[in-house]
Amino acid sequence: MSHPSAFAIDLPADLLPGLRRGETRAFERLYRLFERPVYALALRMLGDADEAMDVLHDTLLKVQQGLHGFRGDAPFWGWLRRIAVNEALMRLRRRGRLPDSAPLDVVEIIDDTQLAPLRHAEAAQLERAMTALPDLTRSVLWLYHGEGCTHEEIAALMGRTPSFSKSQLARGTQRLRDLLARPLEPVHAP
Amino acid sequence: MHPEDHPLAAALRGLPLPTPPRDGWPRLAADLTRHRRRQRARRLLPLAAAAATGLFALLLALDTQRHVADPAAVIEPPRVASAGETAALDALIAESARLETLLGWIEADELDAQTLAIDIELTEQLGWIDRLLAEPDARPATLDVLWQERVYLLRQRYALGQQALLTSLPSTGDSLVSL
Repeated sequence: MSHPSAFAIDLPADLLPGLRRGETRAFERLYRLFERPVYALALRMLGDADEAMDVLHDTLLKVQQGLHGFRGDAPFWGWLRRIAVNEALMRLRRRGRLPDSAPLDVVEIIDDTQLAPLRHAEAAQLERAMTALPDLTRSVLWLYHGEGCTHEEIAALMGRTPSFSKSQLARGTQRLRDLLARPLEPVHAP
Repeated sequence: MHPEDHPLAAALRGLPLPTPPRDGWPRLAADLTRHRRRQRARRLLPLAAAAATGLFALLLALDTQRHVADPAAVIEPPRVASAGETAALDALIAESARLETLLGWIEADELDAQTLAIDIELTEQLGWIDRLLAEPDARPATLDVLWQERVYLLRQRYALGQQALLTSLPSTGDSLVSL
């Protein structure tokens, strides 16, 4: 059974009017509702807890600044998630790990529906394998599989083509399979 | 295959949701308040400027009227304030200083949005009064009006702060300093 995106939270009816009035309590309620999904998304994309906290902070600030632009014709969570993804991508760009002009479609596109199902992997193994992926590849993989974004949506978010998203997904899926197929190194205590 | 049906999607979505290592709300709340204050100030600036210009024009008109009504004033040197007027002005200045001190004592850490908006408006108006008070050629009558206005605005801010402080405190039965 597949799990829905952790972002898929419907706002209580009275929350949006409170946010529009600039009520601090309404913002705290919003923060409590979305702190884990935003933090988790940022952590998956950036792989750094402190930066993920900054993304959480900046996302909620942007929500306040852009609230007048939210028309309400789509779910609020989708709008908030888009802001969070943009914040995380901006940080990847600043790190230089999301080059503005990466070579496109360098990986042969694999139809991953033809691949055998992944072998069962413990959550910790999967987490570690994800961490070992390049930031950009991991981000595409997470947005596609973890958040259910389409290639067109990922392309729009990253300013690339859908083919780029597909090639990154294929690369990431293959790399993840390789990582999970081989015994992983033991975890050392810090 | 729909991405949600992919085994990798199920595996990734099944990962435990990480919990933030610390509570980021206090920092966010402070920044949200600061941002709202800046936004509000930007919106009010043209209004405050218009209000101050109007007040200044009114004071000038009043001052001019006094001098036109009294032709002797045109040729006489600037009138020196009488001892009574000076004492009244000194009392206003002292009251203003007292209120500033009281305000420093009761300043609340966090105000709700409505109180904050009113406080920003009052602070803006005080700023314009202070700019007018800094004018080198202000006449005694003008100074008197401006200092009265300043004391009035400070009283408003004090009452607002007192109210905010009372609502943020647990009920102890103690009363705050009253004016």
